[in-house]
Amino acid sequence: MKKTEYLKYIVTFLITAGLFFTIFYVSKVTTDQKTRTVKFEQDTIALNLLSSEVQFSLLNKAGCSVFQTESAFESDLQTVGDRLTYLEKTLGSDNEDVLNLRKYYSLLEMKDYLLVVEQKERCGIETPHLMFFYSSECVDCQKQSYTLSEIRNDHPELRVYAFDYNLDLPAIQTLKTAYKLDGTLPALVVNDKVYNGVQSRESIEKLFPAWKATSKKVEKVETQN
Amino acid sequence: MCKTPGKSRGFVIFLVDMVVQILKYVVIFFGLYIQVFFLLNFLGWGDDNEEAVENMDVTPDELPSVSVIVPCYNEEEGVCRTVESLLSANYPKNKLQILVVDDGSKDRTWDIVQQYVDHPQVKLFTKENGGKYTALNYGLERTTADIVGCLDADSTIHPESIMQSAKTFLADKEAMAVVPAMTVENPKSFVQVVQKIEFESFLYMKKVFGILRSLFVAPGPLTLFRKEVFERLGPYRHGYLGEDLEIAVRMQFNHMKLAYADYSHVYTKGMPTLKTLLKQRVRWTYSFVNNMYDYRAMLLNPRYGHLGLFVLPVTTIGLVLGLLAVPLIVYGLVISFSNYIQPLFLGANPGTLVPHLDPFYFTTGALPILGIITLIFAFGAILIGRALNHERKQKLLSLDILSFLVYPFISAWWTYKTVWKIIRSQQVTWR
Repeated sequence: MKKTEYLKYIVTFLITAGLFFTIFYVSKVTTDQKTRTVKFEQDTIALNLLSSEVQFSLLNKAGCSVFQTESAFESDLQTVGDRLTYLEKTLGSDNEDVLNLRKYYSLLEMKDYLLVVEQKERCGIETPHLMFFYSSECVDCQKQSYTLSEIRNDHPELRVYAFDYNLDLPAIQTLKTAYKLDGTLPALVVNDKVYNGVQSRESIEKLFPAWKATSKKVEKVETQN
Repeated sequence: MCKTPGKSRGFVIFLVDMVVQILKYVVIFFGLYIQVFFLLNFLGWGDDNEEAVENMDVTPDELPSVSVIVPCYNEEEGVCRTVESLLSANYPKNKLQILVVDDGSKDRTWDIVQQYVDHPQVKLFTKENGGKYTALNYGLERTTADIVGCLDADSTIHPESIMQSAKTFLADKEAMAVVPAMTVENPKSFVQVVQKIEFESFLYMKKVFGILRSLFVAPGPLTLFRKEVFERLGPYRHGYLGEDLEIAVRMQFNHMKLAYADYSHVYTKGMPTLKTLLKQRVRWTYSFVNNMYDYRAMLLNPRYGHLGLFVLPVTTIGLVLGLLAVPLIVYGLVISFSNYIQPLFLGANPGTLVPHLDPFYFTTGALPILGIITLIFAFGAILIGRALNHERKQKLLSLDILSFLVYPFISAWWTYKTVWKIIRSQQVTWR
């Protein structure tokens, strides 16, 4: 074969390698972009939380009216949570960026929880919430999370603070000690009481008396028709 | 927000995982390499003889004499149509001979062809059954034309095809044989639609092979040869029931070139059922494997140009990969699907399975994107082949292209069957 014919194979190799590495590069850039997006969204949430905290501290009882309407950043927290789960699946839970984002997210959840508690104490505002402890190997935890999603569909004001039992974060350790969690998962904490094992939808809804009132109303309306 | 249950990984599993990942990338790179190589040659690295043939003006005297052998075994249904299409060819009648060789048919083939007994262009022969290659050789012994060829009794030709092939011989002095553009007409069953799409991708592949001087099959439907091919190399051989492959490989082994004629159109029916298709393809694959073994000196041998160095090794490796790739793909699909529906078993309601339309969730992994690019190349080959088909009557894009998605599974199936036959040293039959 002529020398120029051999050249064809080399040129093809270069072009294919170029194509290959371009794809790798594009993939890396877009995935990094996703990580940055999640981080940015978390920063925004942190900013909103901080702003509310500061407002609340500066004004006393007058500060209570600040919290009447918003649950804006609650649904943002949920969206960010979903995206974080997706990133975890794509990049792996060992990925350093993912680990940091998850710790950041857990802390944001706790800040939100503390704010909710303060709102109740200072202003008497009731926000239905619960803590949900899970771990990656626990299949029941998955079941529980689907149950919780269903409840949230009907009661979007419910705040589910989900914490990875095995995440290496001192604040989570504090929670474990505070509620004397023994490692049985899933574990739900509602009104400072711990419930181990998978809870059914009805048993969880029973724990929120405010909902019973509205569901009774709905039943009444239905029977009248 | 729960993760899917993780698995504890030992070091061995980690190692195997890594090897499989590397293999995936190597295979995809290899696949891309082949496609890029073919595409670059197609786009202009080599010369095709299209222009030379188009600009060729010949007088009837300059045209070579052509003999077409029609070997038949129980072809009562199609033999008439085949002969008629030859007789309607736009070629000087006194330079075109048709030899019908009945290879001991048990049906009414012989009776049906008697209608041509007085036709000046047609000669009829009958002999004892001996196989297609014996019928071809029988015809070869009884003709003195410059160009000889074969036409399967279930195929028909476009009126211009003989002229186009003849012009190719005149324009391309190096060409010792000319391969036509084969397509499947009027597909009736789904299996025939799949073959139609497959043959469209072959139009692209054969053009590239023609440019690379790497054609290694001389298909039954109207491949034409200069008669000196048989004078120098001897007659057709059994070739493990693949005499069309064997003669082409033998030619290449002796440094005789085959050319491709884009504008020479012939039409074949394609196997009607999955069973008959598998039987045909097992025959083709069996013949390929055995002939490759006989002519193994050509593999990776630069003396045989692109054919030896690239095309034959790649085709062989492709067969092996096909054996492995399909189970892997099926395995991957099953795993993905079971992961996808897993939430249902854990109590989620079906609404959660609807995928997010948020662009954030579009996949950006390197492997899926490369996989999609490979798929694009595969469909590209079909589209290019279709665009090259000057006689096509349909639009460039049509739904039947999707039928090609089943092709890898069907081709893996016949490859397995061939391997099985070889292992058990079974005889392969025509029908």
